[in-house]
Amino acid sequence: MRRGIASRLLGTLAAAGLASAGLVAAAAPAQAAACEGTSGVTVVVDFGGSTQVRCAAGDPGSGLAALAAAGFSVTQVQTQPGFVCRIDGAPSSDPCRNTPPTTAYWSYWHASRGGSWSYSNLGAGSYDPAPGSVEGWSFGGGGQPGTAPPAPTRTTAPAPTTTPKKTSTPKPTSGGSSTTPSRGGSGGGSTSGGSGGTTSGGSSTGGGTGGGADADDPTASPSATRKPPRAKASPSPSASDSVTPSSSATPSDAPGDAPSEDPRELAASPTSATGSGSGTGTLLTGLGLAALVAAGAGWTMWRRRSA
Amino acid sequence: MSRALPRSVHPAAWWAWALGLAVAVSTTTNPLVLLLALAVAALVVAARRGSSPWARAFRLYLWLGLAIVVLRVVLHVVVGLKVGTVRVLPLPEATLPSWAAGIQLGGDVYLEGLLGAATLGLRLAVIIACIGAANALANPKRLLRTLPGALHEVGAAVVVSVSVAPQLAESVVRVRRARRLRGDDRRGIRAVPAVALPVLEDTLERSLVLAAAMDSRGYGRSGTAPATTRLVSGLLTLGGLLACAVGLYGILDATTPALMGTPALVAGLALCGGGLWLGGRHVTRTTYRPDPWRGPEWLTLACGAAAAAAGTVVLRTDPDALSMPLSPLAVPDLPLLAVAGLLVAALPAFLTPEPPAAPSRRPARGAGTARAAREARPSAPAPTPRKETAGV
Repeated sequence: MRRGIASRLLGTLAAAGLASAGLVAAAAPAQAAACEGTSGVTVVVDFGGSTQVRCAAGDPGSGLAALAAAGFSVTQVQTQPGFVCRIDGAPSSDPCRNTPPTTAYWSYWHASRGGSWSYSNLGAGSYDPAPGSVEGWSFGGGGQPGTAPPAPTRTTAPAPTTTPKKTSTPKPTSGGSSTTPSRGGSGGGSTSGGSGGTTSGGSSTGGGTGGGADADDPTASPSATRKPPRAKASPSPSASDSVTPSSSATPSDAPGDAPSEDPRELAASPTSATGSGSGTGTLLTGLGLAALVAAGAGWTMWRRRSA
Repeated sequence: MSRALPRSVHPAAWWAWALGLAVAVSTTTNPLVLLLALAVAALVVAARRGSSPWARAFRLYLWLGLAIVVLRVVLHVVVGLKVGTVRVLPLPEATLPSWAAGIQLGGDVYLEGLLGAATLGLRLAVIIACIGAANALANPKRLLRTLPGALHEVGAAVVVSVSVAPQLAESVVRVRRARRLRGDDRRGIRAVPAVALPVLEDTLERSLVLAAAMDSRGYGRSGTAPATTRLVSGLLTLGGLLACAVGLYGILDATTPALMGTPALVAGLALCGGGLWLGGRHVTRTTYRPDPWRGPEWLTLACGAAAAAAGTVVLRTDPDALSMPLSPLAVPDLPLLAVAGLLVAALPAFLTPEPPAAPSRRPARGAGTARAAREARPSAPAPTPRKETAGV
């Protein structure tokens, strides 16, 4: 999971070629069920009353990236960036300013498929879940999720639960099976090599050679074969997606585009789109106000000194 | 009110104003609000600071704040947990052994994490600037008078200790100026032997003057209280402090019984107040140049309280507007109520009376030479105790 420095260097150098690669992150589509085989990271979120099981396909680079790739929206604690405060808006009562109390927080668990939960001793931003494993989030006083980790599925045929559109997506996974690394990392680049960063999951679609990916565990490579076409996907209608992040089905869209959206970008685009007009104005107003008062301070000081 | 006679506003009012501003700052990580609060503090300091040596210390607090922000960002880059999507600085990451899990040494730096660290550092820096503003605006020696009588011994020690450094600096300036007037232009390390002794003597002399002034007004005396009263007041104060500690613990720890929380704290504060009142009853002090508490003081207090109240209300109603949006990254909001509160906090810069002009900074023409000559002989007895040192 943790790569050596050398491969990380390769990955970061490759990723540096695309400056904004992190923005056009091509995380895998969310799937509202456990993953098939070792194709992705299954994310189990126990909201207390209800439990949701989704699949973050590919190899997310961190627990946070897995959550985002599975379509969960995450609010972080204001004073502790990286600390998960809300998942899908729950709990709404927490203001998310300081770290939540020990009696009501999101505890973070790992498990193998069909195994048992074990409490994570790493933060979700630092832990790199392996494809085929299960990530658990449980709200409360630190108890493990109410449901056991889903047992491994043996089905090779894609069994989409929400949308028929994703039939194209899982295909490479089942074709190039989980154990044989089929490297397609030419041209479009070393996706999982660059994604070795402990925090930003499959976000870095590095250009250039696939060198970074070579040092990786073979399970990462299926995602490499699938990602390059998606990295170029143009943003598709996002408003409806961000409301229901679990469904990656956008019926009106071209098949190739819809599943490729990064949920983080989905979440980001509406706010930045609506806020870009007034956002700049707000920024200018705030900075102008502060500058005005500061200029008043400078002028007062100058006047008193020369008086 | 700005046409009122120049006088210094009560130091307690300035402290209350600064603490209100600090409370408002502590509710937010919004950089726009933080920068506005910093500008407000700077404006009030620029307009209403006095002429005492520590009135010029605000700049040092600003430098300290800048150092805090820089340190916070550097620590984030070196050992912080990097979270985000917008990579700004690709760095290699060191692989740490498993017992050091959770510490990320190096690694790619993301804009979100960088901004988060910078805003958190900025918040602490602005809070420190608020305290610096209180220090620049309020004369600590004058604040000493507002302490309860029973605490005057502690207060006297604190005042003497906090005023040593500024007095030392002022002595250095005076002695160097006097030497320059006499044509001695030595600078740097060679000037130290010529300057050190007069400075030391000057500082000692001023301390003695301060001590004599305080002694003549009743400070530092053991008091005339009978032994039983002193014992009772000591026990009351000690018990009150213990109850305060228990109460604070009870408030902070949710698992303790409810009786240990607020009731214990209130009882402890009452005991402390009783002990202080009993101990201070037998201490008599006189005051030279009393600081009145009039309209401007109430206004200053109200402005600080308004800023704190506005920040708290916004925190309750619209907490997201007070935070720097990091995931996803966006332009921070501009909460109108909090901004209005901060602008109200800037009003004391215009509505309070101006501080009295510095008597020693700009000596009248003709008096300058005599004064310089007097200062060049630090061993000569000072004609009159300086008003500032004797002003307690």
